Amino acid sequence: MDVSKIEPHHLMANSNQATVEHMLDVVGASDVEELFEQIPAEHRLAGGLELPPALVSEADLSRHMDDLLSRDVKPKASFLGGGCWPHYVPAVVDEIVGRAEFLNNIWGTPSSDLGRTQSLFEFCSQLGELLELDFVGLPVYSWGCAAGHAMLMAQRINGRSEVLVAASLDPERRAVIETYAGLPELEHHIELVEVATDWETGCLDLEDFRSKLSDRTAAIYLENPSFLGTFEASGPEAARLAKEAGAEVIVGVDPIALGVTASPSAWGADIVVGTIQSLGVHMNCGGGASGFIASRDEERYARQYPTLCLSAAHTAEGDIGFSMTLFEQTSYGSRELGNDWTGNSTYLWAIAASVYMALLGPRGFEEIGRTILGRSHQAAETVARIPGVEVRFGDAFFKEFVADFNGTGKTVAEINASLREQGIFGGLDLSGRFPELGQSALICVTEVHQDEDIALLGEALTEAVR
Amino acid sequence: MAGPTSLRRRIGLIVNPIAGMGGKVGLRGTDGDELQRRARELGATEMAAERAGVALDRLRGQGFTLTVAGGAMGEKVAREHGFETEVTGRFGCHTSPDDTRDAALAMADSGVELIMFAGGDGTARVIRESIGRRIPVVGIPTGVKMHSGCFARSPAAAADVVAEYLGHDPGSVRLDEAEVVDRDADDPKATTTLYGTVSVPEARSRLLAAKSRSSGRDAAAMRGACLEVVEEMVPGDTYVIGPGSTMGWVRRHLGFQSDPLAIDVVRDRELIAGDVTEAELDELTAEAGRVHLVMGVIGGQGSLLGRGNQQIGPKTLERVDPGDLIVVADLQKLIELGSSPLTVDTGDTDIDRRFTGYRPVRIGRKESLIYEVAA
Amino acid sequence: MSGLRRYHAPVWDEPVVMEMGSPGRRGFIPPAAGDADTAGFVPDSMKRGERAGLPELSEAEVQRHYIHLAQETLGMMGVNLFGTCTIKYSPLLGERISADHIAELHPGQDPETIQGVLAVLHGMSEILCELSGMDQFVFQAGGGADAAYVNAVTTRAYHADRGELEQRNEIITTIQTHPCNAATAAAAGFKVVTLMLGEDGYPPLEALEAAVSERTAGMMIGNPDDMGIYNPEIKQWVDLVHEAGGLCFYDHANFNGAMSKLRARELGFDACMFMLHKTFAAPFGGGGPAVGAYGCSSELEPYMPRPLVREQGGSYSLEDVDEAPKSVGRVREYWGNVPQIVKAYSWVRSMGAEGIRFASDMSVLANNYMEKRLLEIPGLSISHPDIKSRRLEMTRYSLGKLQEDTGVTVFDVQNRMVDFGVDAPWLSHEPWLVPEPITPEAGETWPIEDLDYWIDVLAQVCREAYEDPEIVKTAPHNQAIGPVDGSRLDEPDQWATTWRAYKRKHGDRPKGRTSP
Ligand SMILES: Cc1ncc(COP(=O)(O)O)c(C=O)c1O
Repeated sequence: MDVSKIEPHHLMANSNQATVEHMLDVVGASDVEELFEQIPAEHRLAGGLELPPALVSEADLSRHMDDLLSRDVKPKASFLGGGCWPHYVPAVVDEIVGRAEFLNNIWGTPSSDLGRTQSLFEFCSQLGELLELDFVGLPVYSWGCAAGHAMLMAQRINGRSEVLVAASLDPERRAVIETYAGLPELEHHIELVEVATDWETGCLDLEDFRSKLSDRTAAIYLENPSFLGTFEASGPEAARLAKEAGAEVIVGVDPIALGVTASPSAWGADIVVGTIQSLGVHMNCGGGASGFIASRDEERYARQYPTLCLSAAHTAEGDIGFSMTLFEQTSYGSRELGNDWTGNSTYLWAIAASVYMALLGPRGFEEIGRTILGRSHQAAETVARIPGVEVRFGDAFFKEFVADFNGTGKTVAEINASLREQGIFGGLDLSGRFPELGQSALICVTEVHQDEDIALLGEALTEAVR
Repeated sequence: MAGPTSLRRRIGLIVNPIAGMGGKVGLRGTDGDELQRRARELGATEMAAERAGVALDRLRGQGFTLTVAGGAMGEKVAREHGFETEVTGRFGCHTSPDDTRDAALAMADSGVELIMFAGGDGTARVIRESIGRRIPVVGIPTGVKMHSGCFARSPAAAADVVAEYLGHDPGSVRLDEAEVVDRDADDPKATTTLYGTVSVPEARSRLLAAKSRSSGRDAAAMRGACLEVVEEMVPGDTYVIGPGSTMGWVRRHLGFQSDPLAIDVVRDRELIAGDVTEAELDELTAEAGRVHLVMGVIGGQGSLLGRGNQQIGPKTLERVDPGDLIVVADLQKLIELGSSPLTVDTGDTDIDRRFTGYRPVRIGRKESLIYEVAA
Repeated sequence: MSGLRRYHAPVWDEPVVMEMGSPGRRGFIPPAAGDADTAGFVPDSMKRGERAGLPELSEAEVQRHYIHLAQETLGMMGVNLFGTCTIKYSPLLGERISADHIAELHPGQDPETIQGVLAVLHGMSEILCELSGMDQFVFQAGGGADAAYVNAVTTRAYHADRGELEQRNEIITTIQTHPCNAATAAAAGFKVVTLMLGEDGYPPLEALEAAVSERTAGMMIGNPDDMGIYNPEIKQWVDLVHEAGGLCFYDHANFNGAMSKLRARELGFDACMFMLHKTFAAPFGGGGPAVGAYGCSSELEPYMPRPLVREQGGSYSLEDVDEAPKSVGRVREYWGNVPQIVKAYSWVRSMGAEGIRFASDMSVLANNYMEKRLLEIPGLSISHPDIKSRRLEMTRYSLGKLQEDTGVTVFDVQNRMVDFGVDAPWLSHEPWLVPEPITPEAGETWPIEDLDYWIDVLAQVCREAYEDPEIVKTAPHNQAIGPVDGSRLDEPDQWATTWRAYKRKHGDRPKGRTSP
């Protein structure tokens, strides 16, 4: 490095000549190069790096990023959901997660991190109220990851190695779960046994479920509402049967529904997993994904969590603070002997969810649940009126419903292309994923969709299927 | 810190006044009258009391009752450091192992919760013989030989262990099992011998290497590693199970228990001979097919195979393929060896050489550490 | 005292949110439900009975509560040199860009409508390929550990495809490699073989020779490790593992010291990972959302997770598993924490090749500068003192002597340092190889004044340990609350991860200063 030629950079405080010279002097080196003496010459990169030219001025960079990202198209309305949904994020949530102390935090001591740990504890506490469960871990990467970990927890608990999953499971989540299940050649492989879906109701086929449940079943994994939006009416019966067979009952849930629906723990779930994206986290192109694991506060479950867990504790003065519990069972505490693994996760989103739950309160959850029920049914009625289009599975659904286009003679791809031209993003294309449904789409309607949006969908769809 | 309950708590102190005297004058220990006399002649000073004093200073204000052995065995140093004490027995300046034995027993009998002792491996041995695992002990390192697991790293650390112990309600402290090992001071080539175990408060990283743990993560790791060993046992093959607390897990998984010093022989997951002598073992292995050796690591010096486990003699070792030597050890124990290798010292260099090199040590289920074994 | 800042954290005595509010208060009113009788849409067996026991607060109360909590968080507001996490300033522009452009995007959108964001992802992959020599990157992993998991499952898929997985069931790592490597290998079903360090601060080649065999599936290793020690034999290591038929993965989380200096692929590695939330300046978020960017050679590309961004004639598309049947599929839903990728991309663009080289130089220089000053502190020593060559971007120290002399532990030291507005430093991953470890990492962000301040604070704390250890042992004194007693939290009747559990196990909170 030629010290006389260096150009100070705004992201590097010590990049001015005077400081570099001073530090070299203290270190006793004439050139920074000397400090890399550990790396053998033959390991060193020969040529330079070819990277896009630097945009050192923030003004230039800002312009470049805006230009680049302006290629993305903004719709008039979007009906895409299926695990990542458009929900309204209150401004207070955005402000709090944007606070530098939270945004840039790494990890402090229980005292220096009091505010952050308290926010996380409040996340667990409020989620615990919605779920009516006493033990909630710190968040994991996503819903699918939470389900994957929960299966492995069940396997460690009862030593069995089959998990029953519904055929209607989200293919996206299912792909994650399959990865976690492992391969038969290696240790602790889990065999996923698919339980048929009753394509009349969109619910679990209980007969098939019964026939597949056995003393090999480590756990069953259900979701409510299901990926297809339907309430899993046979859930309680399935949970009962599973318990009889000695299996753990894992249920996935979208907590935004919990103001109007019972927590799965009320009808037999042992471990509840789910997403927190719907609780105040922007979709972020999928980067809002975030998951949780919760259970009864029993050692049987608590000792199997792979997550970090935060507990309330006291100071000598009797103040409440928050500290890690069950740390030794994590990968940080015990490397490969820990439960699965943990690391940086989605903690900022837990704070978002904490703020969100505090804003909504008990009545807010009930009302938003009703609004989503109301608007999604309103949309379903609108869609069902379009010639050739049918809404499947009756009206026991939440937020999402399956629009069946088989009667229109058009593919979902064609219909969605037409909608796109009209400035609308149609529902998730289910064709190819669920052959039983033929040309069908999963349409998502939440509290952000207003009457006009629903009307627009109706008009645009009518045009598209013509 | 000193709550009203801790006022009533009783901690014992036993000082072996001659421990550690050998070191400064080039002796490897002061066990036995003859060595003691030589140490004094060579001008050794009593450092045990000094070390105990460091620990006591650090415990000042903890508000417990200190029970001491009389005279030079504790009373003197406690008084010098301003502790009011209860005294058991009176001992002069010329003390014997019997005095240590009696003092420990008296303390355990009189309801002392924990005994601190200043001494070396020899002292630890005597205390183990006297009270076994009745109450926990903490060794203040003083002697020349401190390879037993009950010693803290330093006098200060010993005090910290005791302070931590006092910080918990009696009975709520988790206890570990620590191996007591010793070497013959007169024999420069001597290897470590295991004498049994004592009880110690769980205090991660403050106790010395030879510590073996029986709770928390490490116990789970050892349990898992030993379970895997048992699961992998090949039908018809013969397994010689070595001594030590880690090997206790192998025995428990197989459904039996023995003395920590015993060598047992197993086939088809059944005990076919317990606590064998060298001759018995030689006879058993001579007619066996494939012979595996399952060993823990003994003591703070990484002794793997040596004259310490004398029952496993050259004849048996010759029958064992080096690849069939299964070693199970706690990761922490290996770390505390500070990169120095595990040792084999059977007295037969040809046999030793067969087992040297870098070898896997099982440190958990499905988990091994590659570690050097040297002669 | 000693010219250090008179820092004190704000003290709000903020109650737990569950204790706040008043029945009937509202903080957010959802859009109205309309006239439909929605009750009938939920089957009776699934209806919620009672409303959830959530707090009831007005909007402003919620805002102030969480701002108070933010203020009761030190969170890098002073100086934070948390080792092995490469603390950097995260340029704020990234927040604006992601709020404006990314927040409302859906991953299921037609690629035609997200050409901008796909261009960023593609561009970022190209940049990381240039830095590492790999052929393709994927951003799906939700953190560094998750990227290690990506490697474990990609390795698994590779050997399974060749019919060798049953035989190749061991992953080799070293004791100084981040625990997530061993943990994710085990989570993927492999056995883990760990190498112990030798005298040079890295494991001897003979140890690796003893470890490789026909059972070797791969090696997962970091270099330099978080003691700042570089293994100069790494090429032979890679060769040995390759000869045995295994794959080699480079945990490049600690990239600052190596960035622009070497390429993982040129050293022979088949795959590597970068942490966009560390080296590439995306914010940490107090533990994510994070990105473990995983890159590999073209030989492994068929097996790596999907979707991948593909470019053709300036237009971008997503390649999913239907076009890549050998792919492991997903380790997490969708294609990664996109806002963080965008922020990392814009950081690279503001640095350029020259800036990146400079940043690497500066971080190594700053670490060596710190080392000079730190080693003057009584009670502190360097790990592996026999190794005389200069450490890279980090150095591991030990306060073993301080502890020995004074009884003050590194935990006490952490607790006291925060009294001066300095974030608690990183200690060491498990297992601790040196007693009372402490690991600062200077990085390129912090001005020398801050580095000096950090050193002065540590020196002051060590001085206090010798002169008045109680001050340190009872710290912190200048935080919103004193030290928290976590000693019994592993006991089932004590731990409480929710307020529900707390009330059940502990009843009403003690009458402390923070009681409402
Ligand atoms: C070297 C190394 N590898 C991997 C990780 C894991 O990263 P994360 O916490 O993002 O999962 C870390 C984080 O501390 C690290 O330092």
